[in-house]
Amino acid sequence: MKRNSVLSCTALIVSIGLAAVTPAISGEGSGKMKIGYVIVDEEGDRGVNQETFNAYEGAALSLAGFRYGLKNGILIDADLNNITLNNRNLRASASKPGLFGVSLTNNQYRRTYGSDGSDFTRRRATGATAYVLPASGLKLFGGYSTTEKHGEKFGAASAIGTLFSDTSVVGTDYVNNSLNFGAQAFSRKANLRLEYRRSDFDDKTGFDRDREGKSFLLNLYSTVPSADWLSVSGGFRVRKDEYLADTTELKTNLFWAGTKANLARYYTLEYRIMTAATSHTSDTSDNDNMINTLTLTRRFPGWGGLRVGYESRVADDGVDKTGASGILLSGWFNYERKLFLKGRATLRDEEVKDGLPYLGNEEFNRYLLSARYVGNGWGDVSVRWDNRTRKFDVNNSSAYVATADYDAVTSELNLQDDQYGRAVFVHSYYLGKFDYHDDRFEFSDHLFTGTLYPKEYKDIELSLGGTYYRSRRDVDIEKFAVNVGASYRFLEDHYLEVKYNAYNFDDFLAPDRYYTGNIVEVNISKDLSL
Amino acid sequence: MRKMPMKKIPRLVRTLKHLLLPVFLLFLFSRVQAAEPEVSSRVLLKPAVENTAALEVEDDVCLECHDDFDRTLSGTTHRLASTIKSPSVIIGCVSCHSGGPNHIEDPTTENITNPAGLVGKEAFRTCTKCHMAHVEMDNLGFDVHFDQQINCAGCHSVHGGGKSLLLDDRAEFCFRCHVERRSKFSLRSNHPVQQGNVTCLSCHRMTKRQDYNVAYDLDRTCQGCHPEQGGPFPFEHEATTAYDVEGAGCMACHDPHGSENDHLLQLPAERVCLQCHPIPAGHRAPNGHGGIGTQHTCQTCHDGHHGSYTSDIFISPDLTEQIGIGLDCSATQCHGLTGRRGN
Repeated sequence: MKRNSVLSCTALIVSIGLAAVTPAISGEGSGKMKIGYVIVDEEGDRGVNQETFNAYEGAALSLAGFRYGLKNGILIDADLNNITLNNRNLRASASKPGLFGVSLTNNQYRRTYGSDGSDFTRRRATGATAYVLPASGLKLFGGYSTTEKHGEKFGAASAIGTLFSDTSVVGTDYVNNSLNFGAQAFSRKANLRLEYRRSDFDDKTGFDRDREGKSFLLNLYSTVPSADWLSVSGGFRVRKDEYLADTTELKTNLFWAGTKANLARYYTLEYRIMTAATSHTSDTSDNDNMINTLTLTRRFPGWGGLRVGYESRVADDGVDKTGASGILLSGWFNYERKLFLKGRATLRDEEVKDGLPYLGNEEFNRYLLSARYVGNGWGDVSVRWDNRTRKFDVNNSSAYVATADYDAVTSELNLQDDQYGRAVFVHSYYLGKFDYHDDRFEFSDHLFTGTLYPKEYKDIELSLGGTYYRSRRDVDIEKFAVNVGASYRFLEDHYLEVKYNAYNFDDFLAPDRYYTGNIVEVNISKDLSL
Repeated sequence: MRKMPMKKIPRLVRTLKHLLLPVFLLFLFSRVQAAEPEVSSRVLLKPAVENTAALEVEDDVCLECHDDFDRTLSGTTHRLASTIKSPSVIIGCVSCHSGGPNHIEDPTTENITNPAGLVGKEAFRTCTKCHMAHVEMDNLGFDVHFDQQINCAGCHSVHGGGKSLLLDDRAEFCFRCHVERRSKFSLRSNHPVQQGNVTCLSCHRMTKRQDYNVAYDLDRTCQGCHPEQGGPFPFEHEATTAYDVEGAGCMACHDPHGSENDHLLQLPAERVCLQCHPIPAGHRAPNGHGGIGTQHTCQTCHDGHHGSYTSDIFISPDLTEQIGIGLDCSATQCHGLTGRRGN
């Protein structure tokens, strides 16, 4: 499969090249061809550092940011990264505006487990989409994708932070094929979309887990004729999933509708309803849900706006029934496009109306405040605070109340200078407190990220960055990454690039789970100007 | 009904399959004739596109002063019609920059529009001469970016934009406004967004929105890449089966951006269970079944927490082999495969 992917990419590049030299259809374009080598040096547990799961050593060939426009109007673009390595990430498309478009993607990702990385799963996702506009106001589209995953992984009980960690290996090997096609009809004021989707899950481990799913979707949007201030939209989706070894079926019918009215100057009233009915062969997982939302918005053109909203929800599984109501308040403001302020509060209360559901009454609140200031040519600074709290009765008993409280504060500073270059600094603070019947869990995280992009000097361009992460209280993790890059331009459009990335991970509650890695990438690249 | 196994496809056929698209493209390019420099009689236009066959100012007049600006459009869908031999859409400089004739007489910045600098409805009108806005597409008529009066040019760049004319289709671009998300992808576990294998647009879409968070199809979003967890299962875990309801399903336990815990869990593996399930007294009794409960986490025994093919309390069918004891937990008189203890 790897050889075929390389062959396919090579053939694609050759065909583009041939088109480029054919006088009748040649055009112009740009891109960057890169060839190089990646060296990976690692020590410790290969299964703990997310950033390096998918790092491979070897020769790497890439075509980046390729854009080519033929004289006949066809546009080609491609981003083919690491064609020759197992972590390839490929994307290519060809289109002619108003006529057709076709795109291809291929993405491979590895997730490693275990201290020596010998256990891993490899995922490969390949897809193609196409559309054509055969007539005015009509679009036909379709796509096909395959997701394959195979390898060996640790089960859920291996997760770090469990009281007792089991590292038994579980094999995985499946192929999931998906197909979709449909049609879209549209005019200046309306849009109708029909789509059919199908997926087939083929488990190759020898266990009988094959499944298939089918769904049909319809979406409609339109302004009301002779009442442009009023628009309506809606649709439905019918979906059925079947487990092929027996008669198990899961069906979901989802319906939604909404209307938006632009009332007296600067006021907008919106209403939306969504209902979903799910049924399962066993009857134990049937549930019906309904959500109604009503919002009123007042815009202040050029300044911002205010919004208030009300929401009601009902969930009913035939035995237990809950109802929830909530309010939404939000506002956004900008002063001369330099100062931006935003705030939002969402409050929701859920009560048990009937029966004895496993989770009883629940309260869910979310608050958000953010501010951003854009300077006069020096950059911008922003800060954002996000708080979520949740309180609910466990086992439907007020004697067992669980609470979850989460705060996140993030601040960012972007600096730019025509003479010196650019810099980005980010600090995030996360605080989580979870209190439930038998236990508590808390974490306090600090994460710093900084990247410098000095201005090019004597054909040399540098970049320097790092990330430091420290998580305390009931977890004790320290992680950092440093990346340094240099690029030297020669012969006007050739570059010698060197990148160095260093990673370190420590879990002080599980000292064996440490990782140190050094990755060096050396490339020769050339700007393409066709 | 069980599916029949696929026939083995000959290797030569599989190889040729990978050459199919490049050959097709080459054929297509060669067959599209280089027409005379006029609008092709086969022009197929979306009705939303205005075919301004006669531009009030020709492109070469603009390019006399603003030379090379046509090159910034050369690899994009807004290529000037004057640079294409058979354009399907007539686009010229003045299609977006209105005020051309006045600007020629008196070239100042005040009498020519720059859509990138417009705000609110004025900016919206420039683009919607030809394009349906996100808010008008199949997304319930609601678009949070539109509501915030974010200019199209806030995300799209006509001159030199990338895929879909986005300023940047990588996550870094979304992080400019959604600053709090950047750090999430550097936590202990996260989706590989920083590595480029997943992008914000893998889950969040500006169209086809059906929920509050602009992620399409709620939990179906997850199952597109993680079909093995998708079900249906003969025995469903209700926490994961609240299909199509916001805040439930996969998000009941996982934080899709990043987490301090493994497997994107909001809480460490066993503790996520304890949110809803107090530990039964017998599970942690030191003398119960030889003290198994004091040595193993919830997921060791109950590994079907996404749904089970064999047990309504999600007991692993390989349990005895996994934890290496002599008891048969699946014995029907105890934790039967298809029933609770003692039936």
